[in-house]
Amino acid sequence: MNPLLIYRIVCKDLKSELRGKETINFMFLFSFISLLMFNFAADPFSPALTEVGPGLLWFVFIFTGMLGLSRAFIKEKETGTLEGLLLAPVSTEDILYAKTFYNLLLMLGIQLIAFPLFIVLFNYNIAGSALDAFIVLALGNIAFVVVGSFMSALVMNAKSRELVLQIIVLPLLLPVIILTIISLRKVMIAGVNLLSIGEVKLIVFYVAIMAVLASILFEYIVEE
Amino acid sequence: MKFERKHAQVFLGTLWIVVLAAMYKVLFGLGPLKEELLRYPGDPMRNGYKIFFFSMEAAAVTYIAFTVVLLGSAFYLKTKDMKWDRIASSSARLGLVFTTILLINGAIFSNLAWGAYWNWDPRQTSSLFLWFTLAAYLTLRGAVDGVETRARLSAVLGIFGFVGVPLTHISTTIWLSNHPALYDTAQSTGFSLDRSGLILFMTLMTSFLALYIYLLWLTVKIDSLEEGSQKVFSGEL
Repeated sequence: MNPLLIYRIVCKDLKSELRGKETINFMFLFSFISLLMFNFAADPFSPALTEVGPGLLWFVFIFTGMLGLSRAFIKEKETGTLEGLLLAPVSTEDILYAKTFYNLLLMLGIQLIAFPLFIVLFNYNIAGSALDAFIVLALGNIAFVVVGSFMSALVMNAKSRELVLQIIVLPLLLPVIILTIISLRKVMIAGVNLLSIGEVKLIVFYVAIMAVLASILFEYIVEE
Repeated sequence: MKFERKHAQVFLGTLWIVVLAAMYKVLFGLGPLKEELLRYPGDPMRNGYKIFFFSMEAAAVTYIAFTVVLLGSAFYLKTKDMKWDRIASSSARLGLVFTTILLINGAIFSNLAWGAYWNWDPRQTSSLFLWFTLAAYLTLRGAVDGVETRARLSAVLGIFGFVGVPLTHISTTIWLSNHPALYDTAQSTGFSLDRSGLILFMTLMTSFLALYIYLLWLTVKIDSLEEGSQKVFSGEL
C-alpha cells in the first residue's frame, strides 16, 4: 500500500470527473429528486414521516450510490484506460483503495448537500445531535462504498453490468443497511449519543471484514 | 467399479422408496404432539409439527450446498482447475432449489407456529437472503462470457457471499430485538423426538443428503460433457 500513489489515482479521477461532471451532477440531482419524491410517502405534516424519515434518508444514499458507484470501474473499462492503470507501476490493491476512496469522496460530497436538504424538506427535528447522525450516515456510506466499489470491479466484464450490480450488491449490503437504519433511528428519533450505540461498532466490524476480504480477492478480478 | 447409469438408476430407485416410506411414516405413523407441549387446546402445532421433518432436512442440505459453493470457489481460485468451478456452480443451482423448498416449508411452519406466513424471524430472513445470494451468483454467471472469466468472477462472489450469511443472521437478530415482538418466537419450538421419531428423522436426513450428492454428481457430469462437446464443435479437440 502506497499512500502517495493512491492519492495520485484519486486526483486523476477527481480531475476527470470535474471536467465532465457527468456523475456528480447526476448523483446530486437524483438524490434531490428522490428526497422530494419520498416526501409523498406520507402526509408531510404527519408523525409517520418522522418515524420513517431515517430509513428514507438512508435509502436515498443507497440508490444514489448504486447508480453512481457503478461508474468507477466501468468508466475505465469503457474508455479503455483500465489496461493503462493496470500496467502502471501500482499494486492492484492500491487501485481498489483509490477507487474506493474516490467513491467515498463522491458519497460524502452528496451527503453534505443532501443531508441539510433532507432536514429542510422533511422539516425534521433531529432528537440527538445532527453531527452524530451525519457520522452514522458517513459510516454507512463507507461500508456501502467498500462493498460497492469491489463489486463494481467484479461486474465490469459482465453483460448489462449496471443491472447485475444492483442484484449482487443489495443482498450483501443487507447487514449494513439494517444496522445503519437502527443507529440512525436511535440518533434521530430517540436522541441516543453516538458512542453508546452498539450497532455502530458492528458496522465498523462489517467494514473491516469486507475491506480485508476485498483486498485479498481483488487480484483475482483483474488478473488476465 | 465405475459408477454408471445402471447403478445410478438402482440408487435413485432405492432412494425414492426409502424417502416415500419415511414420509408415509411421518405423516401417518407418528402420533400428534403430547398434550403438555401444546400451547392451547386446538393448537395447529398438534399435527403441524411434522413439517419440521421436511424443513429441517432442507435447511441442512442448503447449508451444505452453500459450504460446497465456498469450498469449490476457494479451490478454484487456488488451483484454476475447472472441475472445482463445475462443483461450485452445480452446488449453487441445487442450493437454490433446496432453499426454495426450505422457504416454502418455513412459511408453512411459521403460519402454524406464529400465525403468519412471513414472520421476519431471523432464520426466515437470512434464508431468504441466502436465496438472493445464490440467485445473484447464478445471475452473474449468466452475464459473463468466457469460461475462465466466468469461473474466476463467480468464485470471488461465492466467497464474498458466504461471509455475508452469518453477518445477515446477526443483523436480522438485532433488527428484531429492536422491535416489539409480534409473536413469541421462543415458544412452540420446544419439542423433543422419541426413538422412532429420531430414526425417521435420521433416515430422511440421510436420504436428502444422498439425493443432493447424487444430483451434484449428475450436474457436474452434465456440465463437463457439455463443455467437452463445445470444445469439439469449436475445433479445439
